[in-house]
Amino acid sequence: MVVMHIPDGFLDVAVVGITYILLFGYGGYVLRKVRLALDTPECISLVSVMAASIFAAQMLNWPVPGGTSLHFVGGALAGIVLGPWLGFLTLFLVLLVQTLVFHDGGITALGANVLNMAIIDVIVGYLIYRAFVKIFGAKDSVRATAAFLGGWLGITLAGAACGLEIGYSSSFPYGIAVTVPVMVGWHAILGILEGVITALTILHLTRRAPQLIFSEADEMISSKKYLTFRKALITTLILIFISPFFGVILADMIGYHEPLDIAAEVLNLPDLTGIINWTPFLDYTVPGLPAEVGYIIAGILGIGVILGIYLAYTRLVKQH
Amino acid sequence: MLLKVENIYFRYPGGEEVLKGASFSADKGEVVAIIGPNGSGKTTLLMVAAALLEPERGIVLLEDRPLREQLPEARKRIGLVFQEPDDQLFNPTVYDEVAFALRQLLSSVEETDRKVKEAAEKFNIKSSLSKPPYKLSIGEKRMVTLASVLAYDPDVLLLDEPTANLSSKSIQEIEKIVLNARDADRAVVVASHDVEFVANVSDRVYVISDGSMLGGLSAKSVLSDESLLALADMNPPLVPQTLRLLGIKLDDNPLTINDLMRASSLATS
Amino acid sequence: MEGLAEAVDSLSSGTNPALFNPTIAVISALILTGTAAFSYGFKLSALIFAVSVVLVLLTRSPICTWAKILMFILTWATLVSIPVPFITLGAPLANLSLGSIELKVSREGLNAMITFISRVVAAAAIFTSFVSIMGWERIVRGLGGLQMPRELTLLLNLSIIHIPLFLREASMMLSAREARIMRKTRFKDVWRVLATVVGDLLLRSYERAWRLEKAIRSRSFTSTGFLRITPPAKIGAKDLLLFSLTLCILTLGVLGGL
Repeated sequence: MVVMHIPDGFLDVAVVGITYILLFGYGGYVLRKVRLALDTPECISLVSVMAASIFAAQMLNWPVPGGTSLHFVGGALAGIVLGPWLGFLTLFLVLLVQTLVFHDGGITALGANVLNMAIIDVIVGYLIYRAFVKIFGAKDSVRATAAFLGGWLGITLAGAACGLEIGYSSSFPYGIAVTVPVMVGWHAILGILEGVITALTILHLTRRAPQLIFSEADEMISSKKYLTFRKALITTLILIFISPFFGVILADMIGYHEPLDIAAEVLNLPDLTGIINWTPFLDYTVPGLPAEVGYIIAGILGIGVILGIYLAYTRLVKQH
Repeated sequence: MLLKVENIYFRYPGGEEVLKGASFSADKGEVVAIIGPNGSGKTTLLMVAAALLEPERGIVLLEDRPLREQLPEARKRIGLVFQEPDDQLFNPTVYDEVAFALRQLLSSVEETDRKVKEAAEKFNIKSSLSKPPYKLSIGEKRMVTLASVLAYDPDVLLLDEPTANLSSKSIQEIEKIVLNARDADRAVVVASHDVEFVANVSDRVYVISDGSMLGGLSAKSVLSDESLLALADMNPPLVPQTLRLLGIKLDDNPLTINDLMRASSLATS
Repeated sequence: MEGLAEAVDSLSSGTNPALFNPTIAVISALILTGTAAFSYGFKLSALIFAVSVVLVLLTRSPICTWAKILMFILTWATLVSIPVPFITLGAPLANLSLGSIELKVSREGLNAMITFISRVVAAAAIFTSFVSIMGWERIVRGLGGLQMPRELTLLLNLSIIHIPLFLREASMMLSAREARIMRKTRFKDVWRVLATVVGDLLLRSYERAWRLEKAIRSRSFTSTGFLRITPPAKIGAKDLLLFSLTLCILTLGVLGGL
């Protein structure tokens, strides 16, 4: 499906170091979470056998018009079926086997490949599916939509991470201005197919054995809390999708500029954007994508970060 | 009685009751066979006996003490050979497979190595020690599973369909192994569809039907009882069938060729 | 799928698994792969590539399989880096005219492309040469010697063992479904069928995992007895030679600024 398996030689020492630190950190966290379980034959058997079946599933050729075929990754599928922790362990095993036995993905790039496919793809798939099912109920239409979105967004964000890793790496001939739009654009298109495959597979599984889907483990509680949250979420999503009309189209029509930008121009202050430019999402844009699309993606990311902080905070408060 | 399995009720999650008050026993130096139709619960019963499945009701006793209380150490006294060798083999090489249990019991590498080679010699798998088990033929895999279990000398041997998919020569080898185990004072329990094999090796036979057990009597009496055999979905062994067709009745009720030869040599003498 | 299953099977034992101590071999493989992957000079990559060729030839490993992997990596790296000579600023080496488009090939760009390709290919070459010599079983054993968590080495072993089994199952499932297709099928029908294969593979893995758990438990005499480590292999003269060579190459790389 994708060019996601970064080979050796694509990443420099710094990026390898950072991704490996993330791998060990996250891996250590997951191992602590499942430590007691991982010491049991049940967990060992399930994770290892699942990894083998996902590996085999990845080898299937999915024909596409044009006479070619593609393979799917299955990270979102693993996250939905097994949950974030076992899903991570399973995909991590798959990637380790692919790296060690087939050299599909480099040893030095293992940290990055795991980050993209075993962490980002798995977590995104799991969170989206679980959120949808919890809020909208475990119906086939919801499952299909949630699985599709989980599969699509998981791969797209994984592709974005891959673009950042190779773009920021001095070993790779191109910078993020090239790598991020190429990877995001390419994976956003291919992600549609990953999403379809994930949705079809989840529908098949939920018809045969719904009790095996980790992300549906808790009963859907249709309490007022979730109805309110559902309304708020829908409203927020609508606002995000119509925001470019105001922030880009209307703003361009009336020639809107930020007041601080105008003040800086009047005062003749130097423009340091070229120097202090650490983020690829400058001014709510994504390099290489139309301004409107970048605006929406930036909105989703921003809301995601805020919601993430909120959920982490509430969980922390509950624990104490 | 070395192993007693009493009044077992078992149901798989979300499924129907598979075992409904099943009981059997096996003592040192005897071979007990459990026969029954497909889906009657033979495999489940052996797994309960090996304490791999927890029954809803009932108890498994090893030397009159609950087996559950003696785990996991008591596992070294019980050896279960699965019906499908592929389900049982999970090590990278045949050597590792045979050594898996030994490495937990022996601290010396040399001792482990010696015992592995001994077992390999006994079960004729010496040339396959460095090979991955899943690359072997079904007969060789069966030998590996037996070697991996018998290497640590369990007191109780539970064999689930040990002759399935094997050639007649391999079946004869399995029969020898079972009889040797019995002669070495082990309690051997065999679940099987193979009436000839059961006739050749067992001392007592139980019939499992619809989750409960009947019989427990001598192999001769059970394997000549057509109503019991019908419950097990089995035909009588070839020898009594042939004798019945020929209208010959012998006092000894021979079940096997050996029995028949013994009976006819007694008759001629 | 069958071919891939056969490939995994054949990679289990390697051509000369007992040649090196597995831990020393894994350490050397990791160091040499890392050195190649981070090198900026063509000479170091070429040296490491030469070492991999010597290893493959001396051990009589199947050169075709090794070469196939390298060809794929070479093609991929070349395709990725084709624009580099044209977009990198520097002293012009050549000019290319494509109709009205003038393309300048710079020396620095060409160097960057060659260095990139040599780095990627050398790293792939050295690691795959070790895998083909040792086999994955010894590689995993070597990782165990590096104090990798025992759970992880067991997980790796079990996964790799089950991969060919699932590949064959997937192949059989596909054949079974194909055998019952009596009319011309559209893409969406094929995709639906493939999705059922994926779903059924996952379902079968639950069943197989259940049986595997019973198999492990039946021969585990303590609560974590099944995690027992296999004893370490001896270190011989060949291992010391290999490790010394590895350290020399690493030193050359570090001293030469990689």
